[in-house]
Amino acid sequence: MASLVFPMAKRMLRTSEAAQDAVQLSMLKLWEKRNVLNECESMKAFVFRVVRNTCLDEIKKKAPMSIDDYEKIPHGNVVHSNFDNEEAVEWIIKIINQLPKNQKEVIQMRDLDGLGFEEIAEVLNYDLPYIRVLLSRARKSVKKELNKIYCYEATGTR
Amino acid sequence: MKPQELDNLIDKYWDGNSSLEEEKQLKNRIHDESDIEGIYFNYLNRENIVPLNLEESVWNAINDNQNKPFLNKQTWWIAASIVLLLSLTSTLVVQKRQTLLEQEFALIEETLFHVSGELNHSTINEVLYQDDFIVIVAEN
Repeated sequence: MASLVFPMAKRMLRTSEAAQDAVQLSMLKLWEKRNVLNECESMKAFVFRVVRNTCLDEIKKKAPMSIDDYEKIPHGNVVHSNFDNEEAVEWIIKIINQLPKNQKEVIQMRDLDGLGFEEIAEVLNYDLPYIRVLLSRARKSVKKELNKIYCYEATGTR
Repeated sequence: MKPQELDNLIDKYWDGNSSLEEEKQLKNRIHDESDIEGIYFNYLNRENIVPLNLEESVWNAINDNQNKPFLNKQTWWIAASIVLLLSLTSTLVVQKRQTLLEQEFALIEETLFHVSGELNHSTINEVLYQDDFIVIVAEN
């Protein structure tokens, strides 16, 4: 379970060390609540919500800025050593960061964290049809932007 | 999977209509970076890399927490200080109360002494009435 939530924590806190600490803290909280975990409708969604809240608390503690300000900062992992196309990574991170906040959260939870629609709806407190709409819009935007960049590079025209 | 089926699945993915299982298939199948899908799925696979010791460190943290004594050293010091402070305060309160009682007793004693002295000093000038039971006198 820790491995599942780590990418989200890293996206939010930006370093592996901070993400690892947040995951540890979240797992301790969950361990203390282990007796009530069975009552959760979706344990996976509950775990993601706990980790997300822990990360938001850490962000609040470390920087005296609002969560809205935090959302404006570009987020992505800084080190890209295991992927050939470094430039592509930069582009994708930029494209995702430019999406509206709710689309960005949904596409990250679906594509990077592998959450189902119901789980995303539970973590973010949105209706299920709204999640589907947000994901569809987000993916179409990503595809459109990637096409713009790579068709331009391939043909030399935009 | 036939190429046409794969193309359909890719379209389904970009429309946001694919299932998690279908998305997993795509991420595992498509790595060719000459297509935007390959670029995007490689990015997704790369972003999910987690530290090798993550699970172990989490379990260690939980174990450490489990084995942690009920009160740590600092908490013991604070508790001991509070107990000491309370006992000192109660001793002082008892002492103060005792002093007050002694002072009150001394004051009563002095007053009684004064009253009795006054009584002794008074002189009987004249017996106004006297029978077997009552004596009425006039004093200064």
